[in-house]
Amino acid sequence: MKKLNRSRHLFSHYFALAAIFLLFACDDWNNVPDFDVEETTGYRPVYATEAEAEVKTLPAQEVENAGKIYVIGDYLLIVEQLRGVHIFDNSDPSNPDNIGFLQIAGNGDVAVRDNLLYADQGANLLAIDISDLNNIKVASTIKDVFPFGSKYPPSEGSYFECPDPSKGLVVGWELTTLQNPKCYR
Amino acid sequence: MKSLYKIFSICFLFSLVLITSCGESFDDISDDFGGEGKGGSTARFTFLKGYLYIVDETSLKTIDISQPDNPQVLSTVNVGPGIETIFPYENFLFLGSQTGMYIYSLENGPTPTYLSLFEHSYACDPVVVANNIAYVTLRSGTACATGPDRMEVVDVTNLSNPSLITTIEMINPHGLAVNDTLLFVGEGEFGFKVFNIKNRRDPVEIAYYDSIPANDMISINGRRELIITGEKGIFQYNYADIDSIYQMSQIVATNEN
Repeated sequence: MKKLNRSRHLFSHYFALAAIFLLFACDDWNNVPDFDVEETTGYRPVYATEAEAEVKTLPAQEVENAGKIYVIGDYLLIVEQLRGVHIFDNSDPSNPDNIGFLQIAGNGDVAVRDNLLYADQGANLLAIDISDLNNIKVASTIKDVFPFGSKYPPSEGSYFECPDPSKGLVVGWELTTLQNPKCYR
Repeated sequence: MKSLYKIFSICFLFSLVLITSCGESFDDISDDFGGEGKGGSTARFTFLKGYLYIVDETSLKTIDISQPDNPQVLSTVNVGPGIETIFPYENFLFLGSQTGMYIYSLENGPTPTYLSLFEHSYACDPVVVANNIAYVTLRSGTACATGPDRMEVVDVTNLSNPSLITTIEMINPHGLAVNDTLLFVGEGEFGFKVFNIKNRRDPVEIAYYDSIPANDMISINGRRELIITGEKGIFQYNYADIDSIYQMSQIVATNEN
């Protein structure tokens, strides 16, 4: 009987510890678990090259990682996380036709209204005129709509190198060995 | 003379066909992106009453898009931490966050006003609404989830005071989609489920597809079609006959996560 009580007691300690850990883990990387780690596995941002940072249409590409989806008229848009948007002619849903790729480095979400595609690009919101896919234009840019930008690695509960906006747009994350990481999510 | 005219007009039509079929990479695709599109339940952007609404971590922004080439941030409402998704319903915006479901009203103009927060344990997932019922998924397995994996069915008839009707145990619920009679719920890598919601307060599971990973989905209600996105790619279903839902196509994702 005594033993049982004791193990219960222990269990509640574990529970409290776990709760505290989770509290920390749930906040942004400002509140972090333990930053005394010198060397650990984590994510490093991959920045767009100058060519990759340009918003433009490219020939159809394979879907590598299917992100968010969006339907506009007969078209199906598939976000390729941090890289851009696959455009499918979906007028025959039994046979969706991959017609091109809209390169938007750092993108995660899109929405379309009246031939304008709204897309996040890092911290900015772009309105892209897609009325002519052979000649798309960035109609406007609103800066700093997304103060948090595309700053997280793909998995939660991991250390990562804090992105540096001066190095460009983040277009991916590589799993690597980090020294003294300053970010965690 | 009449037949000459006929020949001319046929030639003219034929040349038109030739011209339109001779585009470069994107053939005859102008003006097809008119109107308003539709996103999935994990979307962070939505349109409502001619404005664009955006959630980002802590805030809800109204973007005035009345001048297409000069959109402006009209207002920024601070909501709270961990805001992840936005769903439009009538004159209201439903936000999915790590602490619960927020309801904002646009009845007093384009800047949203707070109506209520339906709190739940820490979890990270979205909400959809139909016929005054909100369906909210809560999932564990991330750093942010301490609660169980489940779906909450919430009566939002009184938007200022939502009340829980029931909870349904799930495996690892992600995004969802709803129409008048059916509710589709993604179970992440574990597939997706279909619920009959003819009795809207009591969803009944009628099908489970465990081999089609589903992170989010869009239901095209007019065409009775469902588009699913997940780690194996994009899958499209027809559910015109709910007793025989069938897969129409698949777009393979080459990098399965």
